[in-house]
Amino acid sequence: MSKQSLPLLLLAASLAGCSAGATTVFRGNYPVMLGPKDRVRATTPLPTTKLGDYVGGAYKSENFDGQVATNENLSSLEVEAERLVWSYPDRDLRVERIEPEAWSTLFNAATTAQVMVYGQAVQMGGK
Amino acid sequence: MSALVRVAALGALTLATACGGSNAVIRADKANYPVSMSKGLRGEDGKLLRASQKQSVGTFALDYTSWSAVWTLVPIVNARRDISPELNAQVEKVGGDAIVGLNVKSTHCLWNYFTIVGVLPDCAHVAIRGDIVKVAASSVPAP
Repeated sequence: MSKQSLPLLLLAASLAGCSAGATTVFRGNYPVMLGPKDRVRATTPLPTTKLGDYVGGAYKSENFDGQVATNENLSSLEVEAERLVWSYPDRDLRVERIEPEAWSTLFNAATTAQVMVYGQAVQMGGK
Repeated sequence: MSALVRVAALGALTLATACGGSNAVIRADKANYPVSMSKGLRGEDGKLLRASQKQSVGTFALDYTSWSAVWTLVPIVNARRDISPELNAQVEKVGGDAIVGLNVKSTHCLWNYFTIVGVLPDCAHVAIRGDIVKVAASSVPAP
């Protein structure tokens, strides 16, 4: 390989790049509520007791050589949600904010996308 | 053009690519309808609704791009966004009662390839989707 072709190869590899994307998916029938409304056609929220803070997210990183790292099935999030909520029909997740993010490394060697979800696990009607 | 100049130009162009990104914050503090990121939804009496009680009447869709500069340190556009106006308008338009299955997708912009190592503004696409549902008036508790 000549010295002249090295930058060209780097540029080609960089622009070929990749484009990771991450998506939140909450499965199951436990409510994961965003915003002030906790039920249909109600003007006042039900009383709740906060059980703890909640952080979860979807993550995906892709290298231009084809390697992909992901938790896009949200396994960690589901496990956490299951531990806090799934077995208890009177426990919900209240989402305070969602933070989508995407970035790439120098020369686009890898791109990463993630969506973080911040909120609280609550018990309906108090403990 | 000499070989040295060509190498320098290509090297500079290569250095100009990537190394940047953007982030955003989404809230819905003024939503007039319940918004669930799962299929779970509570009825007026506070009990979980059965799937058969939720009839899909439309799809919520919102797409936008957030911009920031200097490796996300300087927010420019859509860094923080309350999506309540779009939620309220789209649910009201189809006569729905709530949104279920809301999901948020974050992806790259093509522009991020040319941000001069993150110095120029960077961007990220945000796609939000959900099912707008209408709920039967009388709620029956799920088993």
